[in-house]
Amino acid sequence: MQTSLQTRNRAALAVKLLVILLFLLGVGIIFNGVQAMRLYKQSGFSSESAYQAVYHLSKATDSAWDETLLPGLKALSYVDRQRVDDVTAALLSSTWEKQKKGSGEALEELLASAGDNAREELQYKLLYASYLTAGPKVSTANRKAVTALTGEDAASFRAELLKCLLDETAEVPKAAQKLVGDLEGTEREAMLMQTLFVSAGSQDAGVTEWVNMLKKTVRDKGAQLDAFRMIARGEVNALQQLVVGHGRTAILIGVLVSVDALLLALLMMGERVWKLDVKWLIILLIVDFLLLFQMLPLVYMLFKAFFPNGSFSLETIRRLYTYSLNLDAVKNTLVAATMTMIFGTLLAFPLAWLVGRTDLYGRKFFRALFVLTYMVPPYVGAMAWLRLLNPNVGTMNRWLRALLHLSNAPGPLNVYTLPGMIWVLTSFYYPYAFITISRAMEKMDPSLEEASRISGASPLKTVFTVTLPMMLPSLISGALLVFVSAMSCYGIPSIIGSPGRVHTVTTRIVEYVSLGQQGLNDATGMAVFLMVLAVIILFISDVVLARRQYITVSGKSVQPTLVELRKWRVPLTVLVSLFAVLVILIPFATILLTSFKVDVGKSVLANANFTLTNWKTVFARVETLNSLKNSLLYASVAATVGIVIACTMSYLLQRTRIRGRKLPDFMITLGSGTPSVVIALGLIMTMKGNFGINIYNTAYIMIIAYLIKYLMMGMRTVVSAMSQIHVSLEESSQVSGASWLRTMFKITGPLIFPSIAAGWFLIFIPCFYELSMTTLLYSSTTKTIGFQLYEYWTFTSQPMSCAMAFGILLIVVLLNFILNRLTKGEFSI
Amino acid sequence: MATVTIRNVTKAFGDNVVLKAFDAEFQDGEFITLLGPSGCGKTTMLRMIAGFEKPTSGEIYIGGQLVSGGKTFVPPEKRGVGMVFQSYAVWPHMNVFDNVAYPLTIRHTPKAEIKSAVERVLAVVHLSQYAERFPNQLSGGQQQRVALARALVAEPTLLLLDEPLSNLDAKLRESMRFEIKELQKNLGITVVYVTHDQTEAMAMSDRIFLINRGIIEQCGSPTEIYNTPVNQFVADFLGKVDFFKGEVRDGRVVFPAMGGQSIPYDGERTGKVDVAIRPENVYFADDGVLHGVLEKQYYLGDVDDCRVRVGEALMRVITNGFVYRTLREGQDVKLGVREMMVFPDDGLLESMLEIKT
Repeated sequence: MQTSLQTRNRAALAVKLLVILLFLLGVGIIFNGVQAMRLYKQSGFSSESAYQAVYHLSKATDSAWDETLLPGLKALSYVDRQRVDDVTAALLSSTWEKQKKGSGEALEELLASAGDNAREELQYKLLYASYLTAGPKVSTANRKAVTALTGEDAASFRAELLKCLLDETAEVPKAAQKLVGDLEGTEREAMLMQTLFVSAGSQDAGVTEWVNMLKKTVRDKGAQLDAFRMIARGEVNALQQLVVGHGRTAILIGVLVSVDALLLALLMMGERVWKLDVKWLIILLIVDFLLLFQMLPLVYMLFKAFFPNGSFSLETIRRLYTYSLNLDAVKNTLVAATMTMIFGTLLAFPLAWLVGRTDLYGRKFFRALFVLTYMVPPYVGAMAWLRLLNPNVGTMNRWLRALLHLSNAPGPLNVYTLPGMIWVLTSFYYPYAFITISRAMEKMDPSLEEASRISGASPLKTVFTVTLPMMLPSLISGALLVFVSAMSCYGIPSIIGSPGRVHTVTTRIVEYVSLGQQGLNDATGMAVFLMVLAVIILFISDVVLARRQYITVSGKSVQPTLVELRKWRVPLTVLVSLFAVLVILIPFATILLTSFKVDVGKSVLANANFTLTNWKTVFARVETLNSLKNSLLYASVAATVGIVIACTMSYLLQRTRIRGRKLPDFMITLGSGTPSVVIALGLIMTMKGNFGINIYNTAYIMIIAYLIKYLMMGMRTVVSAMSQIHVSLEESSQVSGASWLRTMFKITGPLIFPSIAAGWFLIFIPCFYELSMTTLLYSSTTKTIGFQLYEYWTFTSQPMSCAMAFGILLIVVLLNFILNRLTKGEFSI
Repeated sequence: MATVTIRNVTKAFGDNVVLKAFDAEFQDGEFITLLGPSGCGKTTMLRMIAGFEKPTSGEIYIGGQLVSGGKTFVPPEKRGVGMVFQSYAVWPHMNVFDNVAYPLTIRHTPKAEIKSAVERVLAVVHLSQYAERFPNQLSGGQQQRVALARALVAEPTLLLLDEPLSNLDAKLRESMRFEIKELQKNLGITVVYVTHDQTEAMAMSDRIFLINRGIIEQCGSPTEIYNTPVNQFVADFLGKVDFFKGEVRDGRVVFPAMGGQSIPYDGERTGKVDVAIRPENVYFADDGVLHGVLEKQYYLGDVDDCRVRVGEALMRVITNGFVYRTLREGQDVKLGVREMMVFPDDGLLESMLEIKT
């Protein structure tokens, strides 16, 4: 007895020491990382000194131009964009000025000195360098240089470049090819790609290959750039070289290790058990995953927004939010989200009441129908409404014109406006409020309303004195859900807003990301707005409202008395049916009909306008099938990993009293509340190698993004199922002699299986048709079906994309059907 | 005047007939209990009186006025009755005062009047000091009394209670039982009380309607129902009872299962019979008519609960607690039977006792 106690004490002491050592190790690594960063700065490497080094080098020999100047500029552009502008401008203009000749001549001379063979190549490189440094906003100096050099402006340069790329049979200057091979910086590549797609569509296999090569080059360039920096310094010793580039990575690892150690210590202190428990390691793993892929990106983005150059500055923010386009975007986002919230809730509450509490004809059917809209990808709706309300050719507009005897002028309705966008947003986000309110209404004890009736209140009076006040917390949280969803939506504003120049914060963010390095920083600044708003709303609905939820104990489950609508029964049923026709039937029918059209402008019944070609073509294309395969794969992986985490989390939350189990729960909630665009942007900013992890342009980054956004849906389902199973069920199995594992497999598993299946599908379905995050994270080999559809819609053909959209709808409905069968009708979305 | 007349009411949900040809007349000031196993249709009957369900056919009158039947249907809010729900249904977003005042507020009663009425009724249910509290700050029993106060505040002449005590703990249930009865007596109102608890029904009711599978098996005062049940089901549902198959022969009931032992019988039944014997009506006596072996005895303090093997049959005997000390298990005993209920054996005993839910 005595000895075993001693052994235990000794083991506990060892564990304590281990944890302390771990913590010290973490702190040590952080310290080293910081030291490395400091060294990096002290070593004198700055854009200024690099510029000077490059400049001097450039003067040394003619060949140095080729070898050093341009890579140098590129390297600089990677580090400090503003500086590069200055450098290039200065470099170019100083060259002219020194020669005291006309700028054109100066450059001609400069070029001539490069030798005949290198001349063409150099010409392009110079052009490229200037394009690189200034992008679309070519500074006067650069513009002058470009003009002098080629007699064309930057835009035509780009056109030429494109021509070279696309027309492989034509005489392509080798320089142009090489130029593209040298491309660097994710931003350039993104922009180039976009331009490429605009011009060429995506059919050309050659282009795809090119783009792939580009992306690979971009990824591999990081290391080279680091090396350049070292060389630019000259006197940096080997050890320092090693540490300098990895300072950030070191700090990150240090933070993770020390946080883990701290958490472990807290857990052990809380439990008073000094033993390494597998459960704790699991918590640590989940926490680490979330810290790395969720918290780091968010924190880094906040940091970048307010410390754009390493020191605190509100300059970026001020510049961004005084720019009228952005200001409009913020205004539009707020107006659209607010109005969508108001209209959505105003629709959802009466619908939920009519369907849940009255004898409306077909109430169960309507309920299922409204819930079903919840899983329709919003961009599909946007496509439908675009076909219906296009001011010129929109079907509904044509009906209206015929009906109201209007002239053939555009209108009367125009979807490409803020109200148009609000309408489409409302028609796709009201189900969020509807579901929240319906669920709360179902949970509410019907005798609360009956008590009001028997007290003398009419059904309508009861709605206002009992139902509505009781529902208020759910109503508000449903409304906030609509607000956040509308605010973070990218699909609808990009399809409807962009053509009509109705910008929102999300579309601005995506535009900025496509602009380049500076663009990334600006995108971050814009994303901060969404982030702050989302966090505030999350706080309100999770902390403030959660406390106000009325928990009502229902006695026996009595079927609620249905309020008799009497003379209102038929009119209200007609009204609800009309609503369903307008919001659900017409849009879906439009998608379906358009998919069979040859000429979009004509009726599908018109002469020779019916075709199956669209369906055949779209689903025979390799890229469609590839993207479908990608979507299925990524969504499956995300759902499977997600459900494993969900099960673990729900075990921790429901079956253990471990301190700190709420921490990952909180982070998961935060992740799901973060707008998709913000999650994707954060991952781009941090997962491209600058923190030692480079998964940019891979499938991993997409799957991780999906997980962060949709994990909670699955987790909540499993958690609530587990909370329904009384511990005694498990305990009685263990008392019967079954091991913990056996109990999990024989008792808990089968009991919560429907919820696990449901949770899996709840993660899978939104991942399957995801668009917002994919738009920012895809690469040419990792396109998903949602993005493919978006591309078809924007660049190829509307009937074909409608065929695809309807295909997606069918798959989603099928999945929902499988889910329903699998869980014996207990679950469907 | 709150009489309730239920005339030939049938209620079906789809194909499922819940109540069949229900006929009843509740007198003014009567305490009526609808008693029966769960699923027997008693709650549905109450909800039809309240107006939450419509009878499929038949009529319901309250105070002589037709409220349900034919084309007439008076909605619950126009029936002027009070009701207490099983789950209390106290509104969590209103405090006790507002909850109780609600029926008067709906009627646009002047504020001062509401105040005095609410204070009065809160005093009656002993909740005066809780007026400002919210329901989540009250215990189950207190919430239940809020519900009761709310049902009473508008001074209805008819009060409907749907298993109001089933969510309370045993002690509280017992005291509330008498409080409700007391209130009803003082106010002189008609009460329709739904319960599946026979003790509640026995303690409070003027008349009990015992319902099973949608029909009234028997109605009558508690003593009537307990002592002279009309059939085996009623005998079985109220109190404890053992059934034995027997045959009336020469002024005696002979029990084949008891090895042919018999009990004297001077009733009018003949031939095969079902005999129901309540354990408290059997006693140990040296001159008893039945003899058997004491197989088990459970001493429960106030009583001694015994099992006696008589032939092949097992008979339950509940007797005074002190008997425990005088008997040993395995001992031969003789039993006297104070009273028994004899029903004709129609071969339906098993199916009649089976409780359908």
